Amino acid sequence: MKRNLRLTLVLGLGLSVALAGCDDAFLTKVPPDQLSNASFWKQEKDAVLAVNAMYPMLNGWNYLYFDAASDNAWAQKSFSDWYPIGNGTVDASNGVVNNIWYDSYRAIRRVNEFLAHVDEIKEMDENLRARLKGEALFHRAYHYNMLANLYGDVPLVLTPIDIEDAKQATRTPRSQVIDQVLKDLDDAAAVLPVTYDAADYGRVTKGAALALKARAALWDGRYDVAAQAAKAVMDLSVYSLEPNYRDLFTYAGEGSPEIIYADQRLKDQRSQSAFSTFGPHSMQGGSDVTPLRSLVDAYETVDGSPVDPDNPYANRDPRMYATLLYPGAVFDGEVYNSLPDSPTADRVKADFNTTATGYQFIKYVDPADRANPSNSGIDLIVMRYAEVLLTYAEAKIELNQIDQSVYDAINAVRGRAGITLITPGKSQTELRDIVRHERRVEFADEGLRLFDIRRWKTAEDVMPGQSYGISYVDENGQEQKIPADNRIFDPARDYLWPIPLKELDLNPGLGQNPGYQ
Amino acid sequence: MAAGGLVLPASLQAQATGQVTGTVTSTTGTPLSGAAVRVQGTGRGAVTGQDGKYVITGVPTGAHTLQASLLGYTEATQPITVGSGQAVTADFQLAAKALQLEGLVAVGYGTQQRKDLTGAVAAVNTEELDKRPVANATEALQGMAPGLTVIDRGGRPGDAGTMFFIRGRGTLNSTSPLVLIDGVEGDLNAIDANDIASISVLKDAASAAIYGSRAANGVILVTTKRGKPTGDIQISYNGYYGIQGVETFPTPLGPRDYLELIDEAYVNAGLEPRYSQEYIDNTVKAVNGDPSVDPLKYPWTDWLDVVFNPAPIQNHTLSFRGGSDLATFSLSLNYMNQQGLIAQTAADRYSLRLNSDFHPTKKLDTGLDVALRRTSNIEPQNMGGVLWNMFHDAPPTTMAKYPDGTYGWGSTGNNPLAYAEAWGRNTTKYLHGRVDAKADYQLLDGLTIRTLGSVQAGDYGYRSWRNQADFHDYWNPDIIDKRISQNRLDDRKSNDSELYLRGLLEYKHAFGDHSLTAMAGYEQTDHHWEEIRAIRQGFYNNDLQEINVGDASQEDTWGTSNDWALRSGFGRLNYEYAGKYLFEANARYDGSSRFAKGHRYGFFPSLSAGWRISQEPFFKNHIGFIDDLKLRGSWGEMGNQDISVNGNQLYYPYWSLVSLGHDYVFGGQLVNGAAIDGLANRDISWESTTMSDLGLDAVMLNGRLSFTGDIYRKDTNNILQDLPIPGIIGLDAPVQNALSIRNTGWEATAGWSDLVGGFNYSVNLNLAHNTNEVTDLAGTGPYISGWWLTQEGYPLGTIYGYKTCGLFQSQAEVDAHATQAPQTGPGDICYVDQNNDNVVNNLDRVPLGSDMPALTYGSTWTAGWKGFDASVFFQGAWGVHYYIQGALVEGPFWENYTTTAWLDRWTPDNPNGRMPKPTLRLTIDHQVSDWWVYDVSYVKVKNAQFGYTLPHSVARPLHASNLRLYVSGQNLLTWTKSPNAVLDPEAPSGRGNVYPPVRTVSVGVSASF
Repeated sequence: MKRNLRLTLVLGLGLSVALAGCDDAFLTKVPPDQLSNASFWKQEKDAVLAVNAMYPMLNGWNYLYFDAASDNAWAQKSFSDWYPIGNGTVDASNGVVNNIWYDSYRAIRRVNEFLAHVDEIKEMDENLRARLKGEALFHRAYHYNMLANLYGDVPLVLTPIDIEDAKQATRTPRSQVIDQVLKDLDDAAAVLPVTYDAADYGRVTKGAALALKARAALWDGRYDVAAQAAKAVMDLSVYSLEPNYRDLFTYAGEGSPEIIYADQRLKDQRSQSAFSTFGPHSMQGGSDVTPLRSLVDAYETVDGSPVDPDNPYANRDPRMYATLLYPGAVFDGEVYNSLPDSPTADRVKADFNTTATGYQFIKYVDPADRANPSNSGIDLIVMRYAEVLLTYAEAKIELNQIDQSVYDAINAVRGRAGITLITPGKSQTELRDIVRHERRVEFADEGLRLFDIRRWKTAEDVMPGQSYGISYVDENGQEQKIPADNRIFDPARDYLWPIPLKELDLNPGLGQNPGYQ
Repeated sequence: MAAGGLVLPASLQAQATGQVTGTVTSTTGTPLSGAAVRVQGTGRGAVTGQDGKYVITGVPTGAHTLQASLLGYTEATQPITVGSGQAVTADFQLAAKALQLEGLVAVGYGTQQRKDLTGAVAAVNTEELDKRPVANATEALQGMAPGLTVIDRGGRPGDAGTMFFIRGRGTLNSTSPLVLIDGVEGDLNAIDANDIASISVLKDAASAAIYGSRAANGVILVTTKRGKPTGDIQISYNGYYGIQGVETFPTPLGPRDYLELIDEAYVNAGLEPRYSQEYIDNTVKAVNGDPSVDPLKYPWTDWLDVVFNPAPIQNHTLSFRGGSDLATFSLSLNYMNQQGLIAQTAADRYSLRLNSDFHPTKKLDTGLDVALRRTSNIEPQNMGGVLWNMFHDAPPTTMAKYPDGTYGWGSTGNNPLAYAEAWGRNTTKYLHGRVDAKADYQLLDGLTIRTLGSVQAGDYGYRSWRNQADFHDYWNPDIIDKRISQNRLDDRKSNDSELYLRGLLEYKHAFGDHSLTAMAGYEQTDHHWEEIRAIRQGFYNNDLQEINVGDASQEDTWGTSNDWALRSGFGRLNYEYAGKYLFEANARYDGSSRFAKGHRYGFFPSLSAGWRISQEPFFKNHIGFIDDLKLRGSWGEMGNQDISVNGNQLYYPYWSLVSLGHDYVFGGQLVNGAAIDGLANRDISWESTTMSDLGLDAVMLNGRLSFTGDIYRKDTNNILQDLPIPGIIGLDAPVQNALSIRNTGWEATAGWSDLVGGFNYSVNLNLAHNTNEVTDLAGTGPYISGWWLTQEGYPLGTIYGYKTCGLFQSQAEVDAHATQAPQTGPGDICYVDQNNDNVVNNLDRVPLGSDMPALTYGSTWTAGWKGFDASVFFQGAWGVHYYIQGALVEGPFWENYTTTAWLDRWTPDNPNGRMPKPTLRLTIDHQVSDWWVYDVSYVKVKNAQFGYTLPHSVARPLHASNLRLYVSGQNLLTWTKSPNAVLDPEAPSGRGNVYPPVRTVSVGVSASF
């Protein structure tokens, strides 16, 4: 009995060691809810999934903030990372400067990883493989265009790299980066379809690749390339201007033939929160970015007559009413009142979520989202046909190839807006001013202004100094202007953002942009 | 009841004899069983039973000296005179010795005589633990062992909020020591303090390295109470009932001061005053109850008063212990209920523990232990809002609640009371069970095999329910001030299970002056966790709170799981020569599932030695007042496999994972996307800690004075950290073995206890000093995260910000200084331009000190006289720096909670104000700077207690062998250098939006029957 017991115990102990003996099995734990690299790149659907994951990186939301770095708008919250970008005090640790850099390269990694592995998949529809490569190249081009225009020379990474490669990386001159962008887009346009089946609506098309090419070339001053690419988009004959400008930025404009590429949103599942972020505080909005007076003043009157000083908001370019609220504007049946004596929650500067300029952006702020202001399904436009038309016009003007097609392009945009058309016989200089002005009012609150004033080198004229919001009449009958941001702009520095500090710490060889050292 | 008599020689029976009876208790009145009572010089004696009683028969008549002794207690004697046939009564009160030399101390996989220890082990006096009414064992440990830092962050029900670490923070990963309850990993917060028999804190490598892979942060061994073969069953009850309140809170400004300050801020911002003088006057009148103003129109709310209310806490433990030589058991039942200071906040716990031992043969010991507990707690669904809005964005001019129950929403649309009461609630339920089965068998003389199998499983349920609600305006009910548009349920179920197996062989052999102990063992742990989670919105109403009732079109589900496993072999060798020279060696070989094959195993050795100088003849014969003196030293290595990034444990860090969570929308439908998010590192392996320790233990003056001191150095290398990698790689940084941190420090404990006449008292003081330094960041860094700096040469927890140069007194001063933010003017803080580039920006930030205390200390004072006992426990820290932000420094800027500190603010007439010029919504004065770093060194009366043990004449009719009543207070008093600047010196740095520190006053009773 005693012997048996002893035996049992020894056996028990031995058994537990033996059970554990198959070491690999016991100590090898496989992630249960994620694929690992070893099991990926085997099936056709892996390629599709990998390309799908590039799309959320193309963030249309950023476009609602870029104007805050221009004379159109103010990121009025002093704790916002856009605030120092707007007023010329941005530094290399700024959150936005970091995030856009990191997110862009994160997206580029996905493309490079895909391109490095997609040919490992053996059984796959070759047309699909080609199309997916085209989609991937579009995404890489998109991000490099963004990087080059924000940071200047940037490392051009075209393969999946490891830590040592990255620490040795150097910056590629901007023009070479743009060369690559244009090449990727040519390759993409060659294989991408003009349209998709309904189930794939939202993927990048041939038109998107050409429109992005036009944008990249225009921003880089390659006007002939820009004009040709824009013309190629026009010749596709699938895009047209949405009859009602305001509709573009509401549910009514979803799927509009004007939209060339939009960041696809879906209520509850991939929603955006433009209403609660930018809308009036009286409707639970947060006024993150608010229009500046300079933008309001830029809108013409419908008939070209001077603005009535006693009734300044009357009779203006309808695009102003579609873009912003001003004291007396009616939104969702309520009168917006931001005057300093307003009894409403919109009283200017009443709260940090209240407008600090007295104006309010309303693109993508649709009354239909008022009940659920953080859950909007309106797609965020990244490129639309009006931009292609004005890119075409501007490129032709800069090339001094001024013909009727230039007037037609500009007037298509003005005509849709509902203001007087321009008449023939303008000089190159006059037309340059006209198209620049047109871009400002047409794309206000859509993020293009920052890139425009950079490439025109007009930022040093329009950015510095005190900016303003609404005017009002004080108790002494004096007209007063609400002061907004007091900005500085150093032309030697502020045409580029700094390279993120963390990036330089890890690779000092990158070198910092001028003025940020 | 029972008293064991000694065997008596028959020849003595004939003499004239009497009888001596009595009770032996501790100075606190606890009956002491197993105490030996002897009539000196007669050979007569007895051992006390469970109730502390003894009976000695056959005592020769005449005058004698009666002596009582018990391990761990100071011997006591008293004269008696016994008459023939008489029964004499003699009771003893024994004082616990400050240091228990002879006692057994729990060490890794076994016990050792305290005198033989060569490692730094602090054993916590459980009698002290028993006396403090605390919700759990962690709180009770605070300040009781030097080198063990316990930071008490509030008494939030269900979440003790206590952080603890041993000998400083050694890693950026988890700093929590390994806690073993009866040898198996467990949760110290979950155990009823009444169930604990002893706690050992293993601080150095020599004592902890046997736990190898998980020992780098130190080890806490908890042993639960077991039955003793007393031949009877002792029933005891311990219970207390207490009231909790807010311990400390900064004093808010009164209405006039506050409203005028806000006006001043508005005027300073170039705006009209916010409140008219009439409004201010009326508010003051309303607060004073002046009937001429309507208080509803001039609301004034002290949120502190409204949101935090006193709440009860109670704890009851009933236990049954006893047994025979064949089997012993200990059964305890516990109920704890803690209500919170905030509405809808509470926690309770039911637990059961049955420890049983069976001894079927002389050589076989077996046991089966079962522990079950059910805990549940609730809190407001919007607890975050409650705590945030207590301080922020809910000005006191907000009406908390109108007489009809309508909530006010003030100018900001926030109301912490409404968030507490009306938003819904989160409910957490946890059921945990553990069964240990063990068998120890003596194979040969000196050779024992010990086996243990343990299964634990937990079932966790969490429900977060948010109400749908419309909050109407009091003045115009047609207006809805605030709306929660949809109700919502987040229902999560998770469970975890762990199987632990261990077997070890122990060998003991002594020959001549040599004594050898050897142990070798194997163990493995396999852990699994899984969770499923469902969310729906749009429920039929607020009462039907099950997923089925929600809107199926608005649902979300999640499910996941993880596993980890460890397997280890370990061994220990002890050698002792002549009771003077002690040597010990430990080794452990550990494998972890978290590392790839080839990097999986780590080897962790340690060595230690001790010299009992007091046993040397030259010492023994000459220095009489020192009872025991030991010098010890140790060196060893330990490991850490707990890798976390941003607080999330990584279970599969070496795998390159393709995540499916990158969803996008095509054709109006959500589709999956897949991408690699992180760069994989297959080469990661163990963090290792090398530690050296030199210690001295001394016991003097017949055990009345004791001293223990240690100095140590702890180097942690290969710390697992997601070192930043260049962003152009486009992936998250992998975890790498990279960093090094050094902790050095010393600890000292001194104790004195004595009995003078019937009065006994003791004083114990422990001190610990630790310095921490990041020694290597692998060529990277500094890392700046918020206001924290991690940089080579500086401690972890270094605050990083601007040095300040006072307040600007004039625009001329502003202009002459380096350029700061454009709005800077007189009354604003001047920041030092460190790099002299004439611009103040990020580059001018410097380290501003550490939030880790330079010195921590604890001191316990006890006294007992007759049935009375009293104790006070002080705890404190010196050289602690906190960075304060949020409402406490920017009250008027955002109409936040504003303290009386603002009475001393800059104005042209008060140029030396502590607070800068108040203005609106500007952050220029609220940059991280030394202006807002306060020295919060403090002393707290952590606990004070007064008890009375009823005399037997009273206890006996109640069938009690012992009955003690006490009153106790926890967190009674705080002295701090910056009383009104912080929420509490133990609260975390930052905005103060945490559950407030809690003071508890309670009454309790402990009785045995």
